[in-house]
Amino acid sequence: MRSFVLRRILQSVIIVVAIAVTVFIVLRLSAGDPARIRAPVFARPDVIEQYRRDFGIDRPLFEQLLTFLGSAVRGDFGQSFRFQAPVTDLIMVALPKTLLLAGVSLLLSLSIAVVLGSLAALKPRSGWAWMSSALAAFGQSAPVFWSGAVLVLVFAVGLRWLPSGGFSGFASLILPAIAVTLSILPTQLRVLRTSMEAVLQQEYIKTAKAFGLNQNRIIFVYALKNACLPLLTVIGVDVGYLLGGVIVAEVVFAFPGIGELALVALNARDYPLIQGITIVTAATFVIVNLLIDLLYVKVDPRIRLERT
Amino acid sequence: MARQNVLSVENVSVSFPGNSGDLIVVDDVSFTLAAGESLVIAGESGSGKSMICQSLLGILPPQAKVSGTRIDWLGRDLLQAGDKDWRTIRGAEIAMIFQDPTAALNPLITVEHQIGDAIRDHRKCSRAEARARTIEVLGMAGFPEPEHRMKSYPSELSGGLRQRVAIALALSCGPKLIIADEATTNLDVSIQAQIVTLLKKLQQDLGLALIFVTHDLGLAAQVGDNLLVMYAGHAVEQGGVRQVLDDPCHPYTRGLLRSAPTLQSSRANPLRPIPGQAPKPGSIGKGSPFRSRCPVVVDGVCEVMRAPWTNVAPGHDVACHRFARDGREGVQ
Repeated sequence: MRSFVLRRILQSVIIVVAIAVTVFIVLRLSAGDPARIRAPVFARPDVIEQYRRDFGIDRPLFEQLLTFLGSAVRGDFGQSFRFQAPVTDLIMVALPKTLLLAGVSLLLSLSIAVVLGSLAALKPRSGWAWMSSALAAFGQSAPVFWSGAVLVLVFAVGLRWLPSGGFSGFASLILPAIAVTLSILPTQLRVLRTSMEAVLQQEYIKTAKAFGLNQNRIIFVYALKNACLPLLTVIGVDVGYLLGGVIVAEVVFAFPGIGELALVALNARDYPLIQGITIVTAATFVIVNLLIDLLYVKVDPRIRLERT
Repeated sequence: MARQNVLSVENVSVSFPGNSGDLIVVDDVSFTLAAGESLVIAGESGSGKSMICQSLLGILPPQAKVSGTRIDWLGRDLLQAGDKDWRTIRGAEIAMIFQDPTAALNPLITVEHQIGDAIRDHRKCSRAEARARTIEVLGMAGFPEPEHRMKSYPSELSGGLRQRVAIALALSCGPKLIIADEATTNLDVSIQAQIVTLLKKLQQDLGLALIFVTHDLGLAAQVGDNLLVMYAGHAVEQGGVRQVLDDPCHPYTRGLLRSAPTLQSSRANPLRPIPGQAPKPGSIGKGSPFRSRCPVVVDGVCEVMRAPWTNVAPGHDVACHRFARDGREGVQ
């Protein structure tokens, strides 16, 4: 167990470093000069050159990479070009809000998937099944930027029930969380419904029934536990999709999280900030997947870590 | 000594709706079972023997239709049983041991909890009492070190041990009838013998009625008091186990015995399989179900009507036109 965890952590570190190097190189290959963007429009070449020196982008690429990796290891992603503040501080302010939004959305999506998916599997001809299919089809075809805009129009502009954007407490979470949930729910809902349908056909459910077990226990313990295994896998894959959805939603709702920060950073070619955000996001993805792997072992006794 | 009948199945049929009319998988089967008695239901796969068993617990697939005169279980008619009746019957009065213990046990729940849950859903008792009972029934089923090993998951046990868990589960709520549906088919021969011996011993010690479903007539001789031979959803011969095996009167029973390997089988004395294949449900029509493979068909009779039961000896009956007309010599 311990050696498995250590190995997985090591793998995770390698992945994050590889991503850091890749994003470093891709940024330098992309068009746009941060010094020119930062400097006044008709600045003299020597002023622009001064910005280059301040940013450290006049140094040879390899040296820049080493400096970047060296300080990143110590949790220092450098100074933001755009905000003239440490990248770490900027991220530390934005990240909790993003994680909150992502967490609430994931929780909401999982709850709906489990409840609605189970009901749809149990009663394939009921209104629940119809609702589950409709919601899945709708969520699948409505991109976050569209559903987000519609939600704003209806609930913020039209009905004036909820704030249209910004962050001023719990109410600001509701609309973006719904928009993100709509985008990640379809897969989870379909997977849970299908796996629940399959589990209900299993011999062990028949056995439980043949022994007169309590109906609720059969469905919510004996069946659901098995049906949730594929869902767990989907969550791991979906975290990337979730983070992407959250970033779009943040932009739509002007929600002051990592996503909005990333957009500003990209427009300013703010290399250190983009690198910092990418690394933190990648690390989140990798950590969540590691946790899911460990959770898998906890839930499914058939999985043996030693052999993996 | 006439013992009280606990179970009496009268003219029961099971069918499934099909594209061209209902597919009858069990056709007009009757038998009785006395307290403490064991009945072997023998037949090849698809003969409807599992279907009969599942109808006794109300666990047939939802689209299945069960009809008949009556299934009398301790004075109640199971054909009329509702959800509430089934809850008190399943597990607590009639328990089932399934063919494949690997599939029948939930992979994500420990042995302790699978048995404990069954106990606690039937008796109002504390966790500690359920635990004590779990250890007791595991011990009865010959599960080694139950206090310790009941914390295992099914995947951590061998096939033989899993089947012992399934037996313990069947015993857990003190049923009066245990149905073993091909309970030894998936096991190694040596384990098979152990499990059969265990079942036989438990049946005698606890005074249980036992229905043992198998396609292996050799096992039938070890387990059963009575034998019911089924073919394509029909009962074709029934009687005491020794009566039927020593004096098989239905051409199908005879064929089945000849096609089973024994130590006497050799190149000079080869197995003689029954030619052809069992008819599909729905293709039998009005005649004898075995007519398409029968070596002694009575022309003009077997095609048009079912054979009536003919008494061979006290307690031994056969449903065969040839036997009814020509007696034993006719089916030789």
